[in-house]
Parts: sequence; C-alpha cells; structure tokens
Amino acid sequence: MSPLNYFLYTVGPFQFVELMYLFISIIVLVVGFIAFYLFYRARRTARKMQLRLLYSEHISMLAICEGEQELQETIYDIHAQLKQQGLTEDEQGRGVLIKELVTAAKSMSGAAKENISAFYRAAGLDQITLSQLKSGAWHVKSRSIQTLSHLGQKQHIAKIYRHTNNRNELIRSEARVAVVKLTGFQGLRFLDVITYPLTEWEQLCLVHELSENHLPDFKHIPDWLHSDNDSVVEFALRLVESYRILELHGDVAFCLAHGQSSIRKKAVQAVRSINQPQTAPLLATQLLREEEDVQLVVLEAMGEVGSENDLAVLWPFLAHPRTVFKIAAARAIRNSHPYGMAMLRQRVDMEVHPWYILIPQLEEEVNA
Amino acid sequence: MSWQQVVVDFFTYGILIYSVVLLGFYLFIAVYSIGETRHYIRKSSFTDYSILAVSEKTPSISILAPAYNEGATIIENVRSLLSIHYNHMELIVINDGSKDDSLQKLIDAYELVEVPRLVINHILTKPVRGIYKSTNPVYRKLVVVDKENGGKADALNVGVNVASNDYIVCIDVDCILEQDAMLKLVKPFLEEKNKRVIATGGVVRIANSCEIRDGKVVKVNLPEKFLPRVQTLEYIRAFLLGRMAWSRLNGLLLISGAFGAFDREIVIKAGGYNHNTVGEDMELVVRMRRYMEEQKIPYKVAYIPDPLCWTEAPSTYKILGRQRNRWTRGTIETLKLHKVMFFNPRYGRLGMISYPYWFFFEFLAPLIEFGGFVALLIFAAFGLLDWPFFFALLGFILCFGFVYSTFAILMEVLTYNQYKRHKDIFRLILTAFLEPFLFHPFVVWSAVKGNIDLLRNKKSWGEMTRQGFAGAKKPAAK
Repeated sequence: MSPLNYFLYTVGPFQFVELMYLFISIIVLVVGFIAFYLFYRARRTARKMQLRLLYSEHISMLAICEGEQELQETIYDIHAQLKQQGLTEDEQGRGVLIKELVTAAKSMSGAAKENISAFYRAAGLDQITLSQLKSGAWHVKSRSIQTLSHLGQKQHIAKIYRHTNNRNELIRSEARVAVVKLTGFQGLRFLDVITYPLTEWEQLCLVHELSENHLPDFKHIPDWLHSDNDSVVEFALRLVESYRILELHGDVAFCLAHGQSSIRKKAVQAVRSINQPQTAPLLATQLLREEEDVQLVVLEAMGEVGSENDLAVLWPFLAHPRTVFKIAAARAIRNSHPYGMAMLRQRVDMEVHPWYILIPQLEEEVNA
Repeated sequence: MSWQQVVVDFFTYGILIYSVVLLGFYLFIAVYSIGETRHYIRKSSFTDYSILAVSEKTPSISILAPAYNEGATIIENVRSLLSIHYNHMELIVINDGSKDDSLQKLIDAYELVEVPRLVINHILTKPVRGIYKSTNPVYRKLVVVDKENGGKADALNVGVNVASNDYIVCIDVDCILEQDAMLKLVKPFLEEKNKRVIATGGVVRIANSCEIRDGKVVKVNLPEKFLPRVQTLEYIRAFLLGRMAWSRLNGLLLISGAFGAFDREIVIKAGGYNHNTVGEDMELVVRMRRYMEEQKIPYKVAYIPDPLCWTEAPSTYKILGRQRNRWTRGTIETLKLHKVMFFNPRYGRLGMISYPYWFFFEFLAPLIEFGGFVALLIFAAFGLLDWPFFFALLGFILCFGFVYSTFAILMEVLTYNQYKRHKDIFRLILTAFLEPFLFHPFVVWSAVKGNIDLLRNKKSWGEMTRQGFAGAKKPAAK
C-alpha cells in the first residue's frame, strides 16, 4: 500500500477530533499568553515610567553641574541613591538608565553631554555595554556600539573599529557610523580596508555625522577616489560634493573615466559642484563619449556650469530622437548664454512638437 | 466500491489533501514571517529616520494621488498629504476627468494657475488637459494634472509621465498617511547594493472608528462595527503574517494600490499600469518582476510592517461584496496575463512558488470551497455523507482558522500593538471566532461572483461609496 493510500484509509474522524483538541489547547494557550503578556507589559511599562521619571531628575542634576568637584559630588550622590533603591543591581533599572542617558546625550552638547558620559563611566555602565558588545546577537552588539558612540566613549574606539568590516551588515553599519561620531574624519580610515560595500543609507548617515561639528580633514580623499571598492569611490565623490573640495578637481576628473556608469554619474555631479574654468570643457568632452543615461546627467550639469563656448556641443542634442534629451539640452542652452532663450527661439521651429510647448515651459521656469 | 462512493471519496479526500497543503502553507507563512518582522523591528529601533528628513541628498519622490469625483474631501486630503515630513517631494494630484467641482476647488484653495508643461508619453495615456501649479510658494510641492477620464490605472500612468523624480509613491487620495511614512518607505531603496529594489510596500490599516484630527490619526480604536472589525483582523493576518513571509522569500506579488513606492525607471520600462484590468496594482508588481527576471537583473521587492497608511474599510455587505468581487477579477486577470510564468523555472521563485501559490490558493481556494459546499449539499441529500467524518473535518478546519487568527493577534500584540485597550484585543479574539460564520462565507460568495462576472466580461470597478473620515469617532470635548 502506497503512503497516500495508507494515509487515506487510516485517517478517520477520530484523528481529526484529536487534532481539534490539540488546536483548542493551542488557542487556550495563546489567548492565555496574550492575557498574561498584556498584564505583564502594563506592569513593566508602569515601572519603566516610574524609573524614567526618577532618572530624568538625576540627569537634569548632572546636566547643570559646573566644575569637576560638583560633578563628582553629584555622581556620588546619584550613585548612592540608586544603590539604596537597589537599582544598581536591577537589570531593568540599569537598562532603562542607559537608554535615558543615551536619549539625554543625543539632545545635549558641550559640558552637559560630557557630564552624562562621566556618570555613565563612573557608574560602571560602560562595562555592561562592553559585555553586550561581546554578544553573539547582532542587535545586542549593534545596540551596544550605538550606546558607546552616543555617550562619547572614545576610549573603546578600538573595540568598535574592529567591527567596521563585520560580516553582519547592521553591525558594520553601526560601527562605521560610531567611529565617525567619535572621531570625525579620522574615523573614516576604515575606508582604506573595508571589503563590504557602503550602502546609500550608510553614506547618508556618515555625511550627516561628519556635518556635526567635526573638523574637516580631506587628505585621504584622493586615495579613496582611486579605491578598488566602488562604494568607497562613490562616498568620496559625495564628500567632494558636500564639502566643495575645489583642490580635488583633477582626482574627480579621473573618476569620469571609471568603468561603472553609476560612478561616472556621481563624478559628473561632484565636478559640477566644484566648478572651475576647466569644468565645462571637461564635461563637453565627456558628453560626446558617454552612454545615454550618463549623457543626461552631463547635460543637466552643463546647464549649471556651461558657457557660450559650449553651445556647439549642445545644439545637436536639440535634434535627438528622445524628447528628454531635447528638454535637457534646451535647458542647458538657456542657462549657458545670456541670450540663450532668444537663441533657442530662433533655432527651433515653434510650430512643431515639442517646441511649441517646451519653449513657453522654459520661459515659465525662468519666471517662476 | 460503488461509483457514488468513488465520487464521495474523490471530493472528501481531494478537498482534504488540498486543505492539508493549504494549511501547511499557512503554517509556514506564520512561522516564516516571525523572523522577518522581528528583524525589521530590531533594525528599525536603531534607525534615525530624521537623517532622511534633514539630508540634502535624500532621494526625491513624486507622490501620485489619482482623484475622481472627490470634491467633498479633496481639499482636506491634499492638505494632509502636503503636511507629510519629506523635503524632496512633489505631490501630483491627477484629476481623472471628475464630473464634480474637484478641480475648481483645488484651483481656488491652492491658488493654482495653468502652466505650460511638456508631458513626455513614456506610457500612452488619455490626453492631459492641463497642468496647474500654485502661485503661493507654500504650496510649491503641489502639481495638479487635469486629464480626460480613463480610470485609475490611466491616471496613475499620467502621474508616472509627469513625475520628475526617480521614485514614485502611489496612494489613494483619501488615505491617511503617518507623518514619517515616506521616510520609512524610501529607506529600503537605499539599503541594497547588490540588488535593485524596484518597489516597497507598506502596511495598510483600517481607520474606521479611529480619532482623526487635521488629516492625522490621533487615536487608534478598534472599529465599532463588526464588518470593519473583522477586516481589521483580516488585514493583520494578511500584512503582518502573509506579506512579511513573502517579503522574506522575495516572492511578493502584491503591493496595495493604496500605498506603495516604485522605481519609476522600471515602471516605465515594464510599460506602466495596465488599464485593462481592475487589479492594476497587483498586475504592475507582477509585470515589473517579470521584466526584471527576463532581463536577468537582480532585484528585490521590499515590504515594511510599520502601520503607515490608514484607510476606510467597507462597512456594509454591499460595498464589501463589490470590493471582493473586483479583487477576485483583478487576481484572475493578472494570473491570465502572465500565465507564461506558471511553473516556469525561467522565472525562478516567481514562476515556481509565488505564481503557483496565487493560482492554487488565492484564485482556486474560494472556488474549491464553494464546490465543496455544493457537493456537501448533494451528498447530504442523497444520504452519501459520512456525518461523523464531516463534523470532525469541519471542526478541524475551524479550529485551525482560530489558531491562525489568534496567532496573528498575538503577533500584533507582541509587535505594533496598535490597540492599547485590553478590551479591544479580546474583542478582536471574539471577532476571530465569529469570522467563519458571519464573514468568510460572504467573502467566498463574492469571489465566486467575481469569477462569474469575469466570464460575463464585466470590467467595471463597482462603486465604492465611502462614509469619509468626517464620520470617524470625534475626540471627546474637553
């Protein structure tokens, strides 16, 4: 007898009734668990609220401390109070305290933030975070990295740094942002060695961190512009664009010959942002040798950096079979010459599509 | 063995085997979704979305909101959409040849003037009558397109043509979005380096009975009426379990038309929305995926479980029936249009898992269920039914359904826990027990009618009258 036949001839109502009992037991268990969980969470949330209220008072006291002696005394007082209330040994209490310190540190700066960090260290909370850094669970490790960076624990930078090329994308992402948060441009040295790519999201986070009161240091950017890791090149171009690093024009121009079209697009945007006399001729040459999707980006850039000398390369694009090229070229011509708009009107047949609508559109864009 | 017994056995055991496979899939989905949801929530807890809100380099998006005869609520709905937290966006409202005064109301309220704009027909559409922009810089993000009536898909295609940004977000104009909805929806596009993210879907939740103020959900309540409440449970099951599991498998075939973001370039390359189907949202996702598979470009359709979009669910059987009828027709039309993928290894997971699943368990399930019911009546009439077996099987199936629903409620409690009052959770559990008797048979019947209507070549959407959020629970006066 085949297994199917065996199944069909042995399964009867009794088996289903048994399964029904099993399902009913599961339902009772799940509903019971939901009830228990809701009750447990309500209690936990209430306690958390109490703790947060208590800690917010301590944090306010810490934030307003002036001078080392006052700070030490306040730390001592708070620690003694916490110990008296049994909160130094309470796991939930410590967890809430660390979270509250992180939240406070995020919204503070200067001496107030340093006071919070000092308390975090003095209370031995950094040791708890460091033990979490050794955890095998990615989210515990990532959380500990984030905590250390938000609380300015520079002394642990080496431990964080080794995770910048971690196999887990979320750990390495947190570690990369953390080292930059702690040491600014210096922290970017991981770009020399990383093998995993930097995602767009990471790049945004890193640029955001760098913009937060870190002294610019551009000396490694030329190396990164020549990196074998394409995402590092992309990021370096993003830095050039963000900080308008004029002296790297030559290195950026080198990227216009990169094998990846996505990098060439970024290079066009970067070179546009550091416009110099040689930029427009460079882009004009690039325009003629590029593939179509990069050509569009170059045409947009020409609209910003182009001059009357570049009109010769732009005119032919008005006859391009694709309308998007006609629009981009017309915009570039309009912007490249003081009489660009008038020249366009003379050049095109206003009775013909798309010009009868595109020319008024371009005029309207100028007036808007 | 008599021939009657053979027929009875065929139905009994055939349906049994089908049910066992279907339940097996449900079990797999329930278990498989846990990891994805947990991973997302943990990851999200580290994410500072404000970076996207303040960054100069955030990707630009175009929000497409088609509107047809929405005059009663259009001004408030547009105001709500304009208030969303996202710097680099344009809001394109497409007036799909409304017969009411929607356009005039927009012109008056937002100080619009017609501007000359060349619309490139990447996708062929009905003619555009005019494009309007505001003279008031406060509304600089707003673009209103007036076009000839051509249906939702055609209106969205016009939006795709007019959009000037790389990513488009398609929404129903009467939906309420969370303030950070765009920040969360855009992030998946920035997270992949080795695959191209072609679309991101978000969870749609039911807003009936919620407190709405100034176009925002200020307090979430469980719907008072039974029908919206049971749909709340249905949406929790579908979005929190089903779609998260399919997302983990990278096998999602559907992103709700009410709320989804797409890579505009791929939308255009795939040919845009198909206006010959009433299931244009599913059809687009399937076609985009098919395009990527055929071009052999690595891709991903992402999904996020955050409750970001709130919509009004049908609160009468009449409207619900029309909606489910349309969904059924949309599913069948989509499956028919892409039948080449059915168990076709060339399309990978899409052809070997996603498509067959939709064919067997989304399209066929109501038909088999209905067929089983008819067979039951016939066998009962002829005295061929093994009643103990029938009741045991019925009890088994019902109990499994209850287990699945209570598990979905448990997941909701453990994750987003939108319904803060404990009473609401237990009402939801009670609703799960009533669902198989008061809701499910009607949904099956609507799906069967959808099949019949499709055979009759019915193409209409069916009028979807909504009560509007003005009827939603008002906050208590202080």
